[in-house]
Amino acid sequence: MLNGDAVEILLVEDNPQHAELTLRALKKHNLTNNVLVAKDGAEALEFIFATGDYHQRQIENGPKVILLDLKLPKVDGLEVLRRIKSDERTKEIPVVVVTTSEQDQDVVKSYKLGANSYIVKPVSFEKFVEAVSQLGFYWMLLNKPPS
Amino acid sequence: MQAGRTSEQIKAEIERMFGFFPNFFQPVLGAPEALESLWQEELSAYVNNPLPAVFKEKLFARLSRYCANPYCLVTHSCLMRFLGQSAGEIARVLESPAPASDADIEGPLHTLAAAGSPLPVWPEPGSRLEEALLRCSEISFLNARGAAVCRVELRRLLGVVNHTHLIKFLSFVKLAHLWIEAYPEVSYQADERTMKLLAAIVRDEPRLADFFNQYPEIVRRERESREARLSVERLKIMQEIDRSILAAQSAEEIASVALRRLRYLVPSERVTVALKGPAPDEATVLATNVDGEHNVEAGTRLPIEAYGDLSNLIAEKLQRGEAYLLDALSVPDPAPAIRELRTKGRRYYFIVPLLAHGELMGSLSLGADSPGALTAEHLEIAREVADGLAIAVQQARLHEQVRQHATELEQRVAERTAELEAFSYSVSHDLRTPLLTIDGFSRMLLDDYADQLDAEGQRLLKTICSNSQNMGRLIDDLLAFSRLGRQEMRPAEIKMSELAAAVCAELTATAPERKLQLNLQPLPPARGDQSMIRQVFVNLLSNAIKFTGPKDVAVIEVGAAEEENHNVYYVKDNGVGFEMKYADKLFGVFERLHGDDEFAGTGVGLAFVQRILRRHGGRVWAEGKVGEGATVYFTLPRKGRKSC
Repeated sequence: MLNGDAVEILLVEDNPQHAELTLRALKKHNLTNNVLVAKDGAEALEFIFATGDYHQRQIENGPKVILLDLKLPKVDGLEVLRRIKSDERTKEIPVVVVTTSEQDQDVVKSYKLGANSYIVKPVSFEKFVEAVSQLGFYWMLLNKPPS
Repeated sequence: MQAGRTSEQIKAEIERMFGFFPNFFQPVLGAPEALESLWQEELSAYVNNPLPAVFKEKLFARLSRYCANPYCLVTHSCLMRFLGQSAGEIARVLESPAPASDADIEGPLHTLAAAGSPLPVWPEPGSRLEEALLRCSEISFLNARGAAVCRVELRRLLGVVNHTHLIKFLSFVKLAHLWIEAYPEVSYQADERTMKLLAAIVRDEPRLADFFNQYPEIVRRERESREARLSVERLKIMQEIDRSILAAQSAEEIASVALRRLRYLVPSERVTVALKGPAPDEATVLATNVDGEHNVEAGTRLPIEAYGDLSNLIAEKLQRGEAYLLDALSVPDPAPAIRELRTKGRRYYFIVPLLAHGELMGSLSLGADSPGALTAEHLEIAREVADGLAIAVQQARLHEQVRQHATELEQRVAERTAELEAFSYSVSHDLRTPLLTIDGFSRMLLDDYADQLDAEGQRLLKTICSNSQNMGRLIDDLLAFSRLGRQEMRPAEIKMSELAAAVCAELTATAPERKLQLNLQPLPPARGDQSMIRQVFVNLLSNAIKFTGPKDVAVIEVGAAEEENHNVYYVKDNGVGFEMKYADKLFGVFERLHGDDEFAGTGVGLAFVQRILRRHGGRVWAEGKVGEGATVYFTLPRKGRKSC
C-alpha cells in the first residue's frame, strides 16, 4: 500500500479490469505517480477522511484529484461526492466523475453536488485514453506552485 | 247525501235555500246524480261552512278574479252587497293587486305573525287582519311565491278546525272554477237576483262595471303569460341541466343547480336528490334545497331500513318509473324516519325516480306541508327535471370513471417508464462495461504483444476490437432511440434555413476529403423542438454524405415546399439510391439495405427521424432509384402540436 499522504490521484473504481485500463490510460499521459485505487465507496471515504485503515493519514494532504466512478458497491459514487463536497476540509479537491453514459441523470446530479468535470467511459479504449487526457489539465493546475 | 232524489226535488231545495235557482247548476239539471253531487259539495264546503259569511264571500270573489268565466266573480261580489258590504268595500276587495313580489307577502305575514295564535275571535270585516287572511289564502290558493310560508302561518293562526274549514272552502272554490270554465255558457246574466244587486253596485261604483266586463279578457291574458313564463322557466332548467352535462361538472354541482331552478317552478319547501349507495341498504343525499334550516346536508347517508316496509313499496314503484306520493300522516305503523317527519310537521312528499336507461339511480323528492300544494303540472315538471338529472348524474359518473381510468393509466405508464429507464440504465452500464474491457484488453494485447502475433493473429484481434466498438454504437443508438420517446418536447419557432446550414457546415467539416456540392434552398420556418429537428437534419445529411461516398462529386440539395396545412422539406442526393420496393424498410429499427462492408451504420438513423417527426405530427417518406440517388421528404405541421 502506498503511503497515504503521497497519493496524488485517487481512483475509485470497483471493476478491476477498468481500473487497470484507467491506470494504463493515465500511464499514456504520464500520470502514473502515486495513484491509489479504492474498490468501493466505503474505502474511498475511509481514505479521504482518514479513518479505518487510513487513520494515520492527514486529511489535509490530498489527494490532488479524485476519479470517481458513480456505480459503486457499499456507498455509491453520488454519496461519496456529496460527502466530499459538503466537508470544508475536502470540498476543494477536484472530483472528476467517470460515467458510462453522457445522458445519465447521474451526470446532472453530480454537477449539482459540485463535481468539477466528467469523463464518459467509451467502449473504445482509444477514446478512453483521449478522455483521460483532460486530466492533464488538472494535473498542470495542481502542480502549479502557489502564487 | 240523500240518494235517489230527482232533479226537481234537488232544484226545489236549492230554490228554497237561495230564493232562486242559480244558473251555476243549469248544465247538470238533466243529470240528478251529478246535480246532487255538486249541490252536496256546495252545501258542505261553502253554504254550511262555518267560516264567517262575509269572509267567505270576500274570499270567493277575490279568488274568482283568476277564473276565466266571470260567473263566480260577479255573483259573489253581489253576495257581498247582499251581506251589507258597500260598493266601495267590494271594489277594495276586488281591486287589490294580484300578489307578485315578495313585498306583497311580507306585509300580510307580519300582520298574521303579530296576531295571537290561535285567533281568539274572527277579525272584523275590513280590518287589516282580515285583509292579511284574505291575502295569505289567495297566495296559498294560487301557489304563488311564498305559498309555503303562508300555509304554515294560516295553520298556526286558525287552529286545526278553522284551518280545515278554510282548506275545504278553497278546494270548493277551485272546483267551482273548474266547473264553470268547463261550461262557459253558465252566465251571471241569467241570475235575476245577481243582476239586481249588480245594478246597485255599479250605480254606486261605476268603475266596477268596466272591471266585470273586462275581467275575462284580463284572466285570459294573465294565464297566457303565466303559462309562457312557466314554459320558459322549464326550458331554462332543462337547458341548464344539459349545459351541466356538457360541461361535465360533478354530479353534485349538476344536482344543486337543477334543484335551485326547480324551486322557482314548484312550490315545494324541500327538494332533495338522493342516490342509491354506497352500501346496498342506504342512499346518499346528493344535493338539497330547503327553506330555512338545513337538517339534511349533501353527503348525508340515509339508511333505507329507517323507512320500514314502506321503502320496498316505494322502491318498486320507482323502479317501474312511477312517482310515489308519501303522506307521512297516513302511514300506518310508521317507521322511525316517518315518525321523525311527523314530529317535524312534515307531511307530503312527492318521490320521483331518477331512471337512466332503465336503471334506478336514486330519487328526487319534493316536500310540501299542505295537500294540493303540488299539482299534476308540478309533478310533470319534477319528472322532467328528474329524467334530465338521471342522465346528467350518469354522465358525470362516467366522466369520473374515465378520469380515474386515465389517472390509473398515466400512473401505469409512469411506472413502466420508470422501469424502462432503470432497464436502459442497466443496459447502458452493464452491457457497455464488459465491452470496454474486451476492447481495452484486446488493445493492450496489440500494444504489448504485437511482436509475438503474426498478421493473421493481429487481424483477428482487430476484428474483436472493431466489433466490440460496433456493439457499443448499437447500444448507444438503441438507448438514444428509446430515450427519444420519453424526452419532453420544447416546441418553439425554428429557423429551418439557419438550422440546415449549421448542420451542413458541421458535417462537411468532418469529411474534408470529400467533394461536396451543397445546394441549400430557402426553407420556411417550422415549429417544433429545435434539438430534435436538428437531429433530423444531422441524420438525413449524414446519410446523404455517406451514400454519395462512391461519387466523385456529391450533390446534395435541401429544399422545401409550403402546402396548406404543413411544410414539406426534403434532402436529395445523387448517391447510390435504393430500390423502391424496399422504401418501407428504410424506417425500421436496425433495418439496413447495405452490408457493413459497403456502408457502416447501425440502422437506427431513419427510425430515429421517423420517431421524431411522428411526435411532431409530421411524417417521412423516401423516393429513390438504384444508382441515381435518393430523396427523403418530411413534413412538419404549420401550426405545431404540443406533443403526441
